[in-house]
Amino acid sequence: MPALLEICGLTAGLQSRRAITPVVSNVDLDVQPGEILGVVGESGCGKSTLAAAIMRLLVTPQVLQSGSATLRIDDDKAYDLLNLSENDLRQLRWRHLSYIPQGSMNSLNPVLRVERQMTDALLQRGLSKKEASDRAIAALELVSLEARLLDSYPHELSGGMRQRVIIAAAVSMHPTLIVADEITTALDVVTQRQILQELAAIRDELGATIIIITHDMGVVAQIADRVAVMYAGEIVEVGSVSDIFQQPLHPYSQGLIASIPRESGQRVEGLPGEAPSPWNYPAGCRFHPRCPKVFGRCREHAPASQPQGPDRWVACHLYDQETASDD
Amino acid sequence: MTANSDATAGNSAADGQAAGRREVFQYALRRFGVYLFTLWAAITVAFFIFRLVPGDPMNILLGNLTRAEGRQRDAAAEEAIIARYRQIFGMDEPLPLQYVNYLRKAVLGGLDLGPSFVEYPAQTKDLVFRRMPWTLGIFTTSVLLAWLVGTGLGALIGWLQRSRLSQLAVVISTLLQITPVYLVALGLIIYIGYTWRILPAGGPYARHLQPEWTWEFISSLLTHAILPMLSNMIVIGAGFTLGMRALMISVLGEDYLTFARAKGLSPFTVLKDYAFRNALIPQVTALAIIVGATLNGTFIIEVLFQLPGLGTLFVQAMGLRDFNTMQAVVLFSIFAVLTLTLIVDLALPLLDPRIRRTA
Amino acid sequence: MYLAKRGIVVFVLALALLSMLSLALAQDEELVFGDLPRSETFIVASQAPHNDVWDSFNYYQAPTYNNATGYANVIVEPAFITSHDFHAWLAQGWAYNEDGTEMTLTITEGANWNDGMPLTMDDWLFTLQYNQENADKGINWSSFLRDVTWSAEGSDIVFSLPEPNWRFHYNFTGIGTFTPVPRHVWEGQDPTTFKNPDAIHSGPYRLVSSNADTRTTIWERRDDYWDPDRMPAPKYMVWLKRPEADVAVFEWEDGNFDLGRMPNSVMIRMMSANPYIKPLVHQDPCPRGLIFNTTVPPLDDNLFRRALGLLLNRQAVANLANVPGYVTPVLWPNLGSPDENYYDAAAAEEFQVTAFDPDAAAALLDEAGYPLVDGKRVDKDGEPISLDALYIDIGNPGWTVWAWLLSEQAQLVGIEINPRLLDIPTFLTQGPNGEFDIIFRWFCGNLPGDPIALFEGLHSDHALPIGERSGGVPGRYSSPEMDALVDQLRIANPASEEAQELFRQAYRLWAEEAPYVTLYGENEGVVFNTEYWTGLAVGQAWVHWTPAARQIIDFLEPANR
Repeated sequence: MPALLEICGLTAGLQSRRAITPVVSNVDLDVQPGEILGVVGESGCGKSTLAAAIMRLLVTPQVLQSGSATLRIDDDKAYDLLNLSENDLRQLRWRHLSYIPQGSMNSLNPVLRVERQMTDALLQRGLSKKEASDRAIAALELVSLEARLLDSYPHELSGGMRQRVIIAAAVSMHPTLIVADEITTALDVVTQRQILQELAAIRDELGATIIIITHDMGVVAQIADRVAVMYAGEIVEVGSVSDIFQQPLHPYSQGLIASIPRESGQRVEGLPGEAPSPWNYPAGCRFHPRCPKVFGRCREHAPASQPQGPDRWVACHLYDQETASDD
Repeated sequence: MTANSDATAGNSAADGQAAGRREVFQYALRRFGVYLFTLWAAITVAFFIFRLVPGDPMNILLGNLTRAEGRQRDAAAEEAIIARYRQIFGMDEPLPLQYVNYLRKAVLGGLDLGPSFVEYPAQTKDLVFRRMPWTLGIFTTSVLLAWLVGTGLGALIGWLQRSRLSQLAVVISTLLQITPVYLVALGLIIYIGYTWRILPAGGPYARHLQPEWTWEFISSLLTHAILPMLSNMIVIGAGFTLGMRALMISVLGEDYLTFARAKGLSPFTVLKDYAFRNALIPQVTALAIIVGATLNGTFIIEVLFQLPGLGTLFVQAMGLRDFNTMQAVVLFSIFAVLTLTLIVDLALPLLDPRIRRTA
Repeated sequence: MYLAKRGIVVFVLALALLSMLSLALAQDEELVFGDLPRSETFIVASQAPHNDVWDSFNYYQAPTYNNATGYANVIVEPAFITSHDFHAWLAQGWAYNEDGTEMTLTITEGANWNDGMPLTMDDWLFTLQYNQENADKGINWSSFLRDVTWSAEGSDIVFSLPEPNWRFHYNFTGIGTFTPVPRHVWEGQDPTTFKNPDAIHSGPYRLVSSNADTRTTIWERRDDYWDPDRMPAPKYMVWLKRPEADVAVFEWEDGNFDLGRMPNSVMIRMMSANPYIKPLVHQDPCPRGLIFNTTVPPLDDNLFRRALGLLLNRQAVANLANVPGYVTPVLWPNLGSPDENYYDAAAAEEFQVTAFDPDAAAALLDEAGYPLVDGKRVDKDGEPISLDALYIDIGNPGWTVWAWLLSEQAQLVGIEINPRLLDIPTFLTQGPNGEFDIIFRWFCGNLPGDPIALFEGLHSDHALPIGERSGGVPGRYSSPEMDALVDQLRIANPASEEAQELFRQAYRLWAEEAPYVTLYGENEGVVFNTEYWTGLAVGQAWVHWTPAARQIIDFLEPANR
């Protein structure tokens, strides 16, 4: 089965007067139809930039440098999202490509009623007022919200309700691919869980494919089928949820999993140090200054992403020898 | 899959409405109190400040009269004239009593603000009422037009912020904004009024006309109003343009704009419903603030364009130390500014639902 | 997307252009006076810095009298016009009895009002009585009738005066003086509120309109004017308040005004832009001078005052004042040429009343006890002397440069004098109130007539406390000698030998005491546009903001260009 979305060599950065500082470097990633892919990493690792780049929502000074993201819809129609004209892309949005931003931010316009914000995109796609309204109500039901909320203004809603409204808006056209960026951040644990359950249910009901961007391994564990671990603008490891959680290969993945709070409540050792900012990504392996297993080569050569078993990739020199001997 | 903890919005709408009405009433009452207090404070400050300025109206009157006649009058004649006008203007009493009398007449006497020196023996009140339409006409029209044009232009410049035309517009607006109104007006008078002779550059209407409902008079009135209004508009409008541009750019960075773009809305809808509409709210507040700050510019324009408004009246009154008229101009200017500000303030909730509920 | 953006820009620009264009096209007439033919219209651009009364032609109201509508110039006529030459106007002459207790005024018969009604003795008698009855209301031209009675005999009015008064006729011969008003208009009216809305007086014009919005008053000549020999040439007179000088320049260059005042700084430019524009220069009858506050030491010392007088370089003021001949040094503190009979040449010589002599000033200061200590003159208490000199700037260079020249010269002899610029209202208040050390002032004797006002103002009657308005020379000067002289001068017949001797004594006392000093005589400039009208010449009494302008109207001749 061909990938629904095939990201190839995506590089994006911050434009300054003199140069572009790469934030996301050379990302290759496939997304399979119907799956939930979790992209996980610490704050500032470039995962939101990656999401925005796929969605073509980068704003100055963020710029896309190179790469492609091929979206295959239905009967083998393929669109390169990164190189499509703005107008053509607009036709894909919401119908095939939806975006769920973090709801605690001002993603809803404070001066427009919920109904207007849920239906304006539908109306522009040729739906009648009635149809748009029905769809909006149906979408709200998907996230367990009542239809009368349509009359509210965003400031009258709680954080969880706002997040649900945004989800409802994003799924109202039954999109093929949904990119959800940090949707559970700033929500309490109970609401977080409800929302994740709703999102999973939406995938089941609508058959959508979801990329969920989060810094929280717990979220990934709850909902994702597959995980891509990101560090300092690069994907360092990809694999199924069970593989990664049971046997993380990359020392960073190991660190992330180790720092998930357990139910016993005991504090586990986290990762030492802080993630580097795009202006001082280290040479060699970008993780090496924090890596407990660092050795000579890590400091000089950036590791390439290599397959490690079926549907499993890792970019780490620890596994170089194996591949070298395989060769 | 329930969301019971969240579904509270709008439940208490009925209770809220009654409480809300009470709140609105209290708000209006407070607002009106502040309004009256400001008026009183302004007139009190004006009353005493103007009297602290050196220069006695009686001396000025006699000085002018003596110059006109080219001779000294005999002392008895001067005394008689001074005594009479002091009495007419209530200046034969101690200052605190003058103040009390002034307030008493103004409040209880049906806005009796005393006689004027400038257009003696006209009553100050009538004078101000006759002059105010000119000032308000020029002022409100030009400020509103400047606001409309500036807001539209600023939104456009902000939306197209990276285009060359837009950057040029920013430079031009900045230059215009820091140019004194006086220079802009003089430039318009010299070039448009006299060098190119496109439009009349002085007076409220052609000198041979009298106010009447004829096309000749109305067209004369309108053509004479263009340059003064333009002078005001250029400077104020440049400010509004820059303000709106800044608001627009900050709104363009908001998350809801990203979300709106993600929805695949047409650029025009994004501009209209998401960017413009949200930038408009602070821009309306700016209008309320600017209303007060730009009235003095209008005064200068009136003098330069010889318009019979409050500005020219004030300048003349100042030259004669005509306290009654100076006070009345201050009073009515403050009144006009407060009222316009109030209107803008009241209009704000129509635009911003967040204020609507909490006010 | 870009197409849409560009479309909006183009649309907005086009809309703005279109609206401008349509409005510009609506304006197709020239900016003159509608149907008034320019060649028959004389346009006075008045500056009228004071009042702004356009609907009242009440001659009794002090605030409305000095207005910009021109009514005092084109319709109000005096008994005599005496500002330059003597002209009998509404009256023919006057005569006193032997002891100066009676004056007979002979009125002109056959005059009429500009509404066509005859101007008769009845109007004269009505006005006299009206003014006397209303004297307590503080109206103009009423207080001189206090305790005066009169009777009419034919064309004569005989005034009986309560005490000998040889100057009673000045009330009929000044620039702004008593004139009759029409009985049928004023009878039963309150002079403090009536506006005389139809502007009825005896002049050769009728009111057409007076517009407070445009500040324009239009007058039309009447054919039934009572003196056909004095029928003015312009069919229309327009008086308007001119714009600020920056803007008015263009109106002048366009030939839209005929007569008015403008700052000297723009005259050359206007003359080169419009060759018809000519400057008219006329010596103001009131010379300029400086008043010393004689209550402020060391200005209470006449030697010190005279020393300051010697520091005034009058010729330098004249030279620095830009336009050649614009100011001239004057000897006698009144009028242009000194009348030998009222003037003591020996005293002028002895006390050097117009001399510039810093060395003599220094010597006088040494002699009077103001020695130089560390380069500074000190007063009797040993404190360095520092004085303020108050001046105003109304565009006449002479009014400002004197202060700086005086300051400079005073510094050379060790006295600090600080020039301080005042605004006109403050100046008009601080002067009469005596709140100054040294102040600029104009000195009118009694126009026309004898120079008693110059000395009358020095009588101690006027030496009021500082802060109270003084109607005299406000330097608070007082001396028993001057009081005695003025008391005698007040009742003397100015034409008598005895009075002339008193004048000479008063002059000597003034020269010695120097309570005020002369500065210069001012030649005021007026702009005259000769494109449509000629006939005005340098030296004529054209002072257009005073009622004397009634006379200049008669000089005007059409240019027929």
